[in-house]
Amino acid sequence: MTLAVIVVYLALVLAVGLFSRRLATGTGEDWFLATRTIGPFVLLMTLFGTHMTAFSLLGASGEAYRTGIGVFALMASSSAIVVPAIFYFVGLRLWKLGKRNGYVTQVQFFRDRFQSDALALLLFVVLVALLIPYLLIGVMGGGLTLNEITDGAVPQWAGSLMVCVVVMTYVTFGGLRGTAWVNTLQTLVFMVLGAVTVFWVLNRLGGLQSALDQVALDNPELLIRGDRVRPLKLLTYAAIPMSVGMFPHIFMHWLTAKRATSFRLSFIGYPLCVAIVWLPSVLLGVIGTSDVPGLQGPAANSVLILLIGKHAPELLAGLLGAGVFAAIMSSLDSQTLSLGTMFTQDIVRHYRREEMDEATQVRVGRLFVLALIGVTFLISLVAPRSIFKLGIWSFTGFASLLPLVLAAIYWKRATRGGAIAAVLTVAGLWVFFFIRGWSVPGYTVGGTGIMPVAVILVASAIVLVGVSLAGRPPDRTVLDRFF
Amino acid sequence: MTTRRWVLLALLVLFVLHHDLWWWDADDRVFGLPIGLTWHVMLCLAVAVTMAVFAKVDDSGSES
Repeated sequence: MTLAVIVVYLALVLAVGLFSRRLATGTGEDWFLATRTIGPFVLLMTLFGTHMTAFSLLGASGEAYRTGIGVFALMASSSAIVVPAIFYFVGLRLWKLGKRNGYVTQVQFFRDRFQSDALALLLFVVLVALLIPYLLIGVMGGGLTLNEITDGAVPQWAGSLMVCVVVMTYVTFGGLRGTAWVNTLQTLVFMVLGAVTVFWVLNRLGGLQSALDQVALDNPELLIRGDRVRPLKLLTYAAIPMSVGMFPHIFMHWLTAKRATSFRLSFIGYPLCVAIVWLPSVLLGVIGTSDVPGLQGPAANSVLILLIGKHAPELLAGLLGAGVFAAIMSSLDSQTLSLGTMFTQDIVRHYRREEMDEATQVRVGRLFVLALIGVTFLISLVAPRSIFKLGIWSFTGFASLLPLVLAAIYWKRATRGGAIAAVLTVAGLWVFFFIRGWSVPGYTVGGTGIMPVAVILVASAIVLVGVSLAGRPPDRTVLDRFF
Repeated sequence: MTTRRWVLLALLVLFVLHHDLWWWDADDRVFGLPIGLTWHVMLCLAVAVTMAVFAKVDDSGSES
């Protein structure tokens, strides 16, 4: 039954993705950017679905199981403030510049703004290196989830393969329009299923008050922040969602907006969507400590699946599986497409001597998406489970690059030297902290509670400003196209 | 003050309110939830209202 529900859901996703192809115009801009025609609702759903991963369903409940309600402040409400701010101050401005100057990728924007091929190439390498672990986490997460939900009946490789084949099909056929449509469906699915799950489980436990009273008896420390979330960690953790300002896949979706006013619903709706998805996950994680006690370490991430298995019919387990797949695929598709677009535009097209026609661009993009998903699947077969820890480090890298985009759009005095120095600073400090913190659970700088991202972000901002001021100001004719 | 500065100011106020040290260890329940959770859910709603009131743009992408 569980597997049947998931298969039906995947078939529905494929149908939506393939149907979107009927509206395709066949041009490069249509495949890469849906001809910049995405309206407010699809933009909100696709931005939210792309940004939220399976972590917001399974990982969040696991974190709440271990840490308590403080997880919501740490990861959800901080995103609810920071992400709309970045949509407004960064996304809107980049959309405007993208439309005016015809950008398709983030690297094109930076190359043009700083007039530097070296910076563009460096950024391409850094962005791709930070994004690839994310693809791997999605593919492996799909396989592991299906394996757990079906009690091991479906092996991990088969679940991963299902995710890969479905995403590969609708991304290569539907391009960005297909991705945006499918993301809209998937976002609605995992938002609704989270709410249905919490309603069902709470009902079986005698209601919210009864369930929380039991937690207050068993683990009262989980209903407060206490020592489990320290104030300094809460403050510096808020830098993590700043990563949204430098995600290539979010940049790509910003460019697809039909008009500036299309963004408004995203400014308003994003924080509401965060509350809708995260509140059920955190509540179920906390309540799970009384209902399915004793889960240690990574096993806590299965709390949602165990609660469903204990209290809900098989149909709901299948629907939850579909919801997790939705959350995984709605990020994986955009990440894959953005990498395909970057490879086509920033490497093949930019470094090829003769001009590429649009049909060839789309063909190269499709081939790269196919190859990328194929290679990711093969790596997922041998990668260790510790790869999941890379998620936070990936966010750290992207967030630390935020000063670069802020300077590019708001500071005329920012120079290519400053930009290159900032990227190199991020890369160097990221490697330094990664080596120190990889094997330390919940690592903070010197055990102070300060997240490495805060240190790298400040350092990259200082280097960017210092090196820019020491160099010659950018050319006036270039700046006129940006300010 | 420009629209952009109003948005920035309002979001900074909400960011300060996000660090609710004043009931870090309080275990009261408000609207059925622990107060430390209710406060942050309300903050999400407050961000939505803030953006609805202040973050206005016109079709060209300029703040109106």
